[in-house]
Amino acid sequence: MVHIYLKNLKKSWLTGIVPPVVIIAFVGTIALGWPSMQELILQRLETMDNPIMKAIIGDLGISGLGATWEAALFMYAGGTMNILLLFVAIFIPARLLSTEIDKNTFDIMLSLPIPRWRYLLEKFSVYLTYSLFIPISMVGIMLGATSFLGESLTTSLVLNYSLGYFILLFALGAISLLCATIFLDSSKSLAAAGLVIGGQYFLDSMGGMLAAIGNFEALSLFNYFSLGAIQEAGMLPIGEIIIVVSIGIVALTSALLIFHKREFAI
Amino acid sequence: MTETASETILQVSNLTKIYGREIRIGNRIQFGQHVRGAHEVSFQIKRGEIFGFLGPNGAGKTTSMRAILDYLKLGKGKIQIFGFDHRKDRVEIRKRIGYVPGDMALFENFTGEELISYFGKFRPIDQEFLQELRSLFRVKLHKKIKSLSKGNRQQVGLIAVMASKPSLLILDEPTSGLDPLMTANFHKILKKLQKEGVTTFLSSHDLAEVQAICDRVGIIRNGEMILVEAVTELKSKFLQNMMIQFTGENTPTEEDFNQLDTVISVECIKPHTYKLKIGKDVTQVLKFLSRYELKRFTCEDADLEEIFLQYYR
Repeated sequence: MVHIYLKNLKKSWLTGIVPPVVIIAFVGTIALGWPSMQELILQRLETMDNPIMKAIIGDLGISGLGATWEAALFMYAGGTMNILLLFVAIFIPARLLSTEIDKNTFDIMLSLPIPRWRYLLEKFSVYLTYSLFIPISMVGIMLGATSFLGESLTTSLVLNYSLGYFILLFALGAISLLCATIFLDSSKSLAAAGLVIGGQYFLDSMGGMLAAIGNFEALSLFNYFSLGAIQEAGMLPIGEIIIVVSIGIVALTSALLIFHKREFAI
Repeated sequence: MTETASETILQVSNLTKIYGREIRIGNRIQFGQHVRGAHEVSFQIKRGEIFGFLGPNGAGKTTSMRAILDYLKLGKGKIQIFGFDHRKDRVEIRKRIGYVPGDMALFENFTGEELISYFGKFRPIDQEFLQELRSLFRVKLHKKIKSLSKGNRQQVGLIAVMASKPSLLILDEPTSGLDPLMTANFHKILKKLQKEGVTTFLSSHDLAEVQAICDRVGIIRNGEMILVEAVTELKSKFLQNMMIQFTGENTPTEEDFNQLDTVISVECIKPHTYKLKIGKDVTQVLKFLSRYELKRFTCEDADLEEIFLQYYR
């Protein structure tokens, strides 16, 4: 049985529901102010379609969508989703172990008769479960708001974008977890995860503006599953899925192996 | 694997774990000020024994315990629990052990009942024994752990760990925070479990506790196991206190006593009267004293606490 998973699922519900609530509130707010917002977007469309704005709000490939409800959704909600992705992937997995260590409950948990790798995997599964709520709530609120406003939205685009978002949450979360198993200590794990994941966000955001780092843009996972790429392929690009999932699996396997074999001199 | 009465439950052979830089003098490792750990620690515990593990702070007790539990990698040595390799068969071993760490922290949002039930999912609870534990400890198990005092939390933790009646209990200062009545009840439980074949490995600073319940003790100092002995043997084999009063005509000096190998300490308490602590070789002192005229002479076994303290220093 998955006792560790169930216990942590119950314990972390409050942390788990915050990101979906943020998404629902954000998209709901855009929907409520939509007609007046459309006029503003029309006026500023040209201004927004430049590298600096893309760096700020994220390169979502929205230029082809014009001042439509769909474009506004992906521009505003998508930008927020990327920032949320950054914070969720850094803060939650990096602290999965240190919260137990800080509360001194780690020793007693390790003395239970389950393999260490399974203990970690069950804890990470809690993160994945709550991560799943983010794209699900995003799809729900986007489709719901679209229907409420009587606007149109390409459902396949939303679904593919959400699926890509979840895959990114998995891969970046696995990297963050790897940092946690290496460092254990809360502040060191957060610093390492922040450096690796935040660095990727920086590369993706600034890559379009600064030629010097533009060549390294592909190293950033945030560069994958962009709306433009999904629009072009009509689905999530298979090559990108393979790359991102592979990175996630390698990071997760490394984290499980390190955790299973390492010592805990704490 | 079946367990027999003479079966070795815990076998620790040459456990070595060094932190930081070690200083080697010949074949020996000298533990410097910033170096902690354990060096060549060996002992074994038989089924049904209560083994006390003693030593001053920083001596290597926790390091040894954490190495036994496979929280630390060994620099050298081998540990077998129930005949299993402590590292390869980690899960199999954990099914049969109960571990209470020093300063045991529990899930604060659980009630005591929830905690017991949660631990029971990993190791089946002996319901009859649980009832006995409830009546002996008398802690309010329906309350959230965060609302309990340190001593009550410790009781909840002990109940949760012991309710499954593990074959080996590894206890790191388990009675810290317990009041004398609860401590006495806890000792009763350990003695009862001992009769049923449960083995206990107990680290403690409470020497009276060790004297009261342990069959054997191991004393660790500066990372080395300096003594493993039955508690009953310790008194007779080790330290004795002597009071010697000389007539005054021909009295030895403190320096004369100090030249005897067996003399651990000597104190001149008044003119011509000495108080001696001696090791196991009484004959050497008696031969020495035969050269003098005595007025009064007494010899008695030292208190066990004195013996322990001798090794602590």
